[in-house]
Amino acid sequence: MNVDIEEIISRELREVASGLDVPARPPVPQERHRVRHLWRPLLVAAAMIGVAAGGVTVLVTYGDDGGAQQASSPPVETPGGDPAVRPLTADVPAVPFLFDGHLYVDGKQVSGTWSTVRQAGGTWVAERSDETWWWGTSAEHHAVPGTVVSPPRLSPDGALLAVATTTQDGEQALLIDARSGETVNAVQTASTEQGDSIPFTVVGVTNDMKVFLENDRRRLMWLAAEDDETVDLGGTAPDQWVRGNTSAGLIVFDGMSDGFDDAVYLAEASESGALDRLRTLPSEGVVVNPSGTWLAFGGTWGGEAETISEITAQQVDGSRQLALQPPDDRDLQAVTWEDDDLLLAELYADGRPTGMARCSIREETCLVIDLP
Amino acid sequence: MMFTVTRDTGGPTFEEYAGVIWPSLYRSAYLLAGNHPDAEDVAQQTLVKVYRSWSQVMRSDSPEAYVRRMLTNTFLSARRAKKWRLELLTEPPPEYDSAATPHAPEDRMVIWPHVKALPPRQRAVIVLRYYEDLNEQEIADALGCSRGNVKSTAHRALKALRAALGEERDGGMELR
Repeated sequence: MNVDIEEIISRELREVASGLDVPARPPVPQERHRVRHLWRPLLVAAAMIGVAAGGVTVLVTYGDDGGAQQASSPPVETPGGDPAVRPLTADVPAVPFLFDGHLYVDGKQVSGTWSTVRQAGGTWVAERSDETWWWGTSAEHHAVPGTVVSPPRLSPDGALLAVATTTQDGEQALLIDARSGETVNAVQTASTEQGDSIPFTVVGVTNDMKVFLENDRRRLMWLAAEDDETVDLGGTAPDQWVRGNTSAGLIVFDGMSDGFDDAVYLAEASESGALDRLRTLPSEGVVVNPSGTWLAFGGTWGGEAETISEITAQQVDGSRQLALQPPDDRDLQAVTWEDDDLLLAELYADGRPTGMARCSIREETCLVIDLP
Repeated sequence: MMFTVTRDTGGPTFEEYAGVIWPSLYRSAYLLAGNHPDAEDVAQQTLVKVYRSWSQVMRSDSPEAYVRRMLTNTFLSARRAKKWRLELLTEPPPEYDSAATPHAPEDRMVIWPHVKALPPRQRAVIVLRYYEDLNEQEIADALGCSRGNVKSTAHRALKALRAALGEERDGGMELR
């Protein structure tokens, strides 16, 4: 007996859907003002109380009519309203951050000692002091599979995590969907040249699933959306080295302009592997805000480099530039953006991080923030 | 399959729109989530997002596609909170007990239990393709990925379903 599996799927999905008892529609939010920042802590608090009491807590209750009633008001925003502007305060950072070996996510300390963290769009990936890598979208953390070859990279929107790893299946690059935790795609990366296996590292990933891989001899763009298709950047973009990704484009180093002011630039990658220059960057160490409109860089600290105590912020289109001065006599080092206006920075004294600051583009100032 | 909005002069109010789309929104959410509590969460969260973005939804070229994208994104994003939520829901709400009775229609289905067991992205592709009747480009738009990715995800999902069904019916039915 021959059966077309697609016919079965189609028929059964329709049967399931048509046989459902659809509950009554929940009440429509009526409030017209923004309470978004209020309700989330309340819901969390309510849930925690339920857990602490050992009781059964549900966020949706069911009425006599079998319909759902909300246990508390949902977040509401004025339809079509402008994005909320967060004031410049000394509050604990709203994004995952690392200080003094402690990793904080959602205001909670994640167990262990940590050496580095990157974050984008609410997703974070961090290295623990035992050299294992972990990622998450909340304080709950997940191990990055296999032995990680190089620091994993997050796409600018935080939806994708690209990892170069070694497992029992060999060396491979993985692309993980940070929303569901699924591996979206994987490609074998073993490259044996002159008898030696040279591992590839991941140097960037874009929101549209272009993953940039390199080793000492080769640079590849893996089109992860197209399964295992790769483009050899050695042919399409000679001596152009992808250094990272931002919401405004890729950070690329032009090996042919090494030593010149325009050696580092922001670029867009085409499917064919061309790296189109968007603008020159002052350094590879820029951090770009989530909407890709502002970038920040500086200063430098310690070592033989000249110490620049302030941070420079520029509009990506070059139309405006401003200097953000340290809030006290310590040096300032840009770390990451919390939103399109607020920038987190570390405060350094004698070359050591001794605190954190929050800077506002809108208010053109920085202040020392409270740390847990 | 999900719903269709007719944009006449003036357009519907959010209340009118929500009333019309709720049943189909819920059904789609159930096929994605595979159980009533999660389906209700996903459908409800999607409705709140529609409310927040009401003017954008109505201004879009295809409100249906816009809301479908919200639904699939809400479903995929909700997966990460699932573990925490299950700790709170220690037993199913009583009105949904019928779904668990031994002779419920779902129990007689051969492929639905395996669809429910697929990883979320694969399940979303299957539901969008075989329930919503979307083409590859429309699925790609809903998931925010390329057509190639949809194709490869669908391939993996169908392969898994064929394997699961083949094991279950070993020798009894040949699948194409």
